[in-house]
Amino acid sequence: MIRSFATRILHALITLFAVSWLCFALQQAAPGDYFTTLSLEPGLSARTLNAIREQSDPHASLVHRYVAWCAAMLHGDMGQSLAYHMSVYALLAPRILNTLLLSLAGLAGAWLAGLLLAAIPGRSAAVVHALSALLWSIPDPVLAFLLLLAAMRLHAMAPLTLDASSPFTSFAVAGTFTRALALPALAMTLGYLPLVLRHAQSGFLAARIAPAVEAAEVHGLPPHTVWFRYIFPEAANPLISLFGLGLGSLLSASLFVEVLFGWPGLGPLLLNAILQRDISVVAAGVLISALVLISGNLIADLLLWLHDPRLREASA
Amino acid sequence: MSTTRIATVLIALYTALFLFADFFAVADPAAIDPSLPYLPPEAIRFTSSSGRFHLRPLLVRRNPIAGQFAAYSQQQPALIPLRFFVFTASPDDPSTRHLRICAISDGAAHFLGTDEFGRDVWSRLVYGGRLTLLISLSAALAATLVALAVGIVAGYSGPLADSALMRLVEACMAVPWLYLLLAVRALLPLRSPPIVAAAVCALVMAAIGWARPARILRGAAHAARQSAYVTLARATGASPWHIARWHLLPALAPLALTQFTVLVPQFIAGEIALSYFGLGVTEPLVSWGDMLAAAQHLSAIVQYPWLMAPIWAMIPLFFAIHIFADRSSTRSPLTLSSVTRHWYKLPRQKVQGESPVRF
Repeated sequence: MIRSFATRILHALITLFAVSWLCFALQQAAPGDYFTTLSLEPGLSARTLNAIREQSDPHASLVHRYVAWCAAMLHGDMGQSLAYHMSVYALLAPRILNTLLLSLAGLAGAWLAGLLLAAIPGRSAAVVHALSALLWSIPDPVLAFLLLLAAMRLHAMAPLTLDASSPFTSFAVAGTFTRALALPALAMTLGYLPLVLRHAQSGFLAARIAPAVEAAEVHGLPPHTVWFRYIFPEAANPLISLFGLGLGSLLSASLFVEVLFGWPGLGPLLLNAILQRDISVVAAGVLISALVLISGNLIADLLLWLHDPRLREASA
Repeated sequence: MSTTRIATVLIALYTALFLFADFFAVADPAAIDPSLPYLPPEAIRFTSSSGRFHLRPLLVRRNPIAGQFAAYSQQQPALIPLRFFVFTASPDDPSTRHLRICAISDGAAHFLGTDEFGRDVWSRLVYGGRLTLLISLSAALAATLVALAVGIVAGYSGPLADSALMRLVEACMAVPWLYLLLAVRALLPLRSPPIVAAAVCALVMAAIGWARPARILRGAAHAARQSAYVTLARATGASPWHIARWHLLPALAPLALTQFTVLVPQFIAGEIALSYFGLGVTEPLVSWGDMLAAAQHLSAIVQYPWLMAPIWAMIPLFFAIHIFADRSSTRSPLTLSSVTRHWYKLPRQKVQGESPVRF
């Protein structure tokens, strides 16, 4: 097991290495550099600028610069944002929390609703199926637009603009926070729901005719025991894999939803950074999103290993 | 009527609409009319103001209230007879004329209302949909072709190329695709001529979208490599090129087609996101995402809901595409091989496909 998990981590590290090169290339390929923008600053003379420039050693080889960049990244120094005049780390940290919160809310909502709806037996299952087919054929951006439109019509939950710098400071803020979270989280949930529903429905269908489940039913175990002790564990494996894979699509969806609903996450910041050519913010944002995705996959692997004794036995 | 037939009819309708956009659109998509901003959708009726039946449809044109912006009075609308199959000159070039499905004596009928600048929403919907589909179809085609090439090379040639290409694919898939889309877009100049901007939009999506299909096609190529017919071909001394062209490509084609149908809706959504963010199609070209960017003024979409027309137009289209994607993943569509299979009464094979991935 230790070995197979080590291979997983090695693969993740290789992927991270490739992604880091991508982000590094992004920063290098951007037209102009930090100093071009710095030279527009009225408070800096050309001499000071040259001194800074020499300090940073632009003639170093690409590999050297890459290593220096990686070392800085590992120390949490992601460079300076040119547009906001602050360190990228300080700019991104609260935003990442907000994005994770929104994504996790969407994730939890979709999985909870998906598992519950998929467990509905009999004739109502057809209704659920039709619902998932309908949601499936509405693309995520359109779904978000529709929700926004409906909410604006009802005036119930006008999208609130939040102060990006303070995600959670007091309980008074928490109330507004949850209210602002509700609508974008619903958009994420509805966008992700059909995927969960499809896989959960087919998984439960297969699990219910599994010999172990049939035996449990024949023995007269109460339905909830059958569900929680037999059907869920039987159907869990593909769903856990889906959980890991789905994180990426959820992060992507959250990017658009955040911009649309004005949620102060990574999305609006990244968009502004692109429009203002603030490339170091873009590079850091992409790297962090990849980091979240890769760790999500690793967590799913770990969950799978914890859940399925066969995997543990095979590798032991 | 089966869902497949409904989907076919829908696709045919949209295709006709976009192919003959110049005919079905009633006005130039960029033609502005400062006198009619935010005009609500206009109705037609068949009775004149005195209540007499009128065979020629009459357009109900409300009068703007003087001194107010985008306010139209309900009283005594003008009834203007519609004329069909009219040649209209384009506003910036009088020498080019378009045959339009209908027009009124001085201008166009606005069946879906107008936007902020008095541009006809229906015409923008038709032209915009055409560009959105053009971008996403060409991007999906390019991505599928790249994926096919990468899949065959990775699946058939040695382990070195295989693992190198697959690590690249994994790196591409390790970043959430909308983040990656924005990152790649950030590398390219922001201000560029409209045509270039539209091409860049397609290019960027193709440059990112190939990874997932490449991984799936690589798996299929790998499986085909172990099959008896490829072994036989290699034993008879066929060149790798010959095997790729005549053995692997036909084996992978249905799967590639499924991947193509999965990519199209994803890329339509991508175009909408990019253009909505202001990084895609720009004026004077028009696309659906570009039209939806009007929703950035939140109060506008409540007051003028007809601006959201692309959303309603998209839902049937996506429904039809999803039906086709489902269909093509369970049976192979009408290709030469499926015709011969039908001819010899051979059973259909279930092609392994992946459920569509949302962005």
